[in-house]
Amino acid sequence: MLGKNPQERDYRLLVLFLLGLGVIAALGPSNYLLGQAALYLIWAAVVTQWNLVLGVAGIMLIGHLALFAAGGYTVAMLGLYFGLSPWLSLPLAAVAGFVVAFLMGLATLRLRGAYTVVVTLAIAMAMYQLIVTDVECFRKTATACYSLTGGARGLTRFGDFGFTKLLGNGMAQTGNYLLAIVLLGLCMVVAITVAHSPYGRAFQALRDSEPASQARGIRVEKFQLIVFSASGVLTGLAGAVYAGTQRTFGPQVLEFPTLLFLLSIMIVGGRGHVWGPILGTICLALVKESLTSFAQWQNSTYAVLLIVILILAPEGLAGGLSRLAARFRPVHKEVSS
Amino acid sequence: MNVALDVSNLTKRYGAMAAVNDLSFQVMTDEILGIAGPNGAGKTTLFDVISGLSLPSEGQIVLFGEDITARRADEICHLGLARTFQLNAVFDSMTVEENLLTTAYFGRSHRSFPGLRFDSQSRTDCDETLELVGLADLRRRPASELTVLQRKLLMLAGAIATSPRVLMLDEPVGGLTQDEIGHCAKVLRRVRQERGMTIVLIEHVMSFVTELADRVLVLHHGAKLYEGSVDGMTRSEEVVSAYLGASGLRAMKLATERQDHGATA
Repeated sequence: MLGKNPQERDYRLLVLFLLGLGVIAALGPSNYLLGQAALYLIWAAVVTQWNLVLGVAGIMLIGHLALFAAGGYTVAMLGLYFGLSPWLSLPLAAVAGFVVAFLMGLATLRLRGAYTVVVTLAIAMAMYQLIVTDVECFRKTATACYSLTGGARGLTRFGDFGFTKLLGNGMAQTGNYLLAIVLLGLCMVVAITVAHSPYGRAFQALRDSEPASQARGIRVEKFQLIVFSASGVLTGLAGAVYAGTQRTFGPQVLEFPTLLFLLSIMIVGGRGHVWGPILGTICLALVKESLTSFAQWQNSTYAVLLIVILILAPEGLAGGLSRLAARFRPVHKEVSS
Repeated sequence: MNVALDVSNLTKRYGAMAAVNDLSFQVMTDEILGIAGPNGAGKTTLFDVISGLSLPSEGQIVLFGEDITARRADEICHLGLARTFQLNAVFDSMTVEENLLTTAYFGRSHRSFPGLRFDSQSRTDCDETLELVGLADLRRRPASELTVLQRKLLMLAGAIATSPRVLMLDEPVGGLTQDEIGHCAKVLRRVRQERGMTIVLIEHVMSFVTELADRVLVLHHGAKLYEGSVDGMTRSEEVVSAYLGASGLRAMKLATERQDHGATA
């Protein structure tokens, strides 16, 4: 039904999935539900790009949220200080994500494994520290004094995507939700395209056998930098969409709970699998929503879930599903060569 | 005849041990050179050094007039030398077709900015190579599901898909049955006939070497023990005592006699 070519099958599946998400909006769910769903779709979009870099390209990137923050703060600060609408600052947020990714990529290009983890995490942590320790008065109002980056409190009142005006009263959450669908669609198209492209194959070859890939002319460092930078563009965009839909952006996105939540999405979904981020988000969203009355247990629950998945199903839900699918595939006839 | 590969005074040391010891030899264009020798003689180390996976301690390697001694493995591949591995090094997570598309795309020349799709040249190379080694029917099969023979053929095809001028095969028929060995020999002869490749092969299966090789190089403790014709090898006392042994000699003579019969018949 979905075709034999795996790449086309993934595209078709994606169209069906996005249409399904659209139908949900048409059923008229509550604004709370739409708002939460939009947020999860944005997280899923971020994880598609993180997964592309960490799972597909094999760069042990942990500080991925720095790219997200770069995009988000671009929108927030341009809105606050220059009155720019998030629509106009979207491309600039993409550029910001690209620049941070490119520099981070250059810094870690010659590093391996654990060293990349440390350096990228350090970059994200440095960014966090710079923001939360920023207390110098930059903008004065009648009652208070705000710093340039908003410090630990973050930035608010920098405008939004204006869906109330565009779509009518009470439609803000619907607009946000639809925008998040577009974002996730875009990120998934990029992820699917890259995974099936020569880039994806080169990374796959390296994972399968390093000496064999070298002996066949494959050298991935530059390809890694290209994919890393491309993921920066989309992660910056995701940050912008987050800022414009949540109407607030603060250093919390660089804090450990966010990192743990997104990492759990990636691992539970299946690292390196194109559909992992979506499956992981569905799973983690269910866990998170059912734990709302036990907020203090959230982080420990993610941690336990992560450990259980890593031990029992290191390939995550996507890996498990594809293995299950393989079992039901018609068995190959033994052809002698 | 031109010199395809010129190795001079090559040494590879691991600590105090010289795995390859001051070795010099040449391979002519379109020649098939067999490399033999007991386990630990340094055959695979020699391949690793020539193909750029490890750097030599001393000496020089020249490929078609170009010094490749200090080049990286990927550059050497782009210069036209492709090798296979003793252990089955294919890309297990891909299908047969994806394996060959990938090696054809990246192995032929350096890619600064790969495209998002495989180009038509790679597709053509992939299809032709599949036909050449006889794996066309299995193109959609995951590499991990192949039999030992099919994996060996796929690894050979992966090397051929990079359009090499020199093909280096590390035990291409090790662990195969007599029939399978015959099949591989047939494939290699076809490769040589259709593509005109220079081939260097390491092999313990002496019947395979005697059937294909124009010349033989025997290594012992990393140094040259014998270089010359296949016939001369069985007459060399050093080779017989260090490598073949009495039973090996008998088996080899039997094999050459059988081939002679085949040739005259």
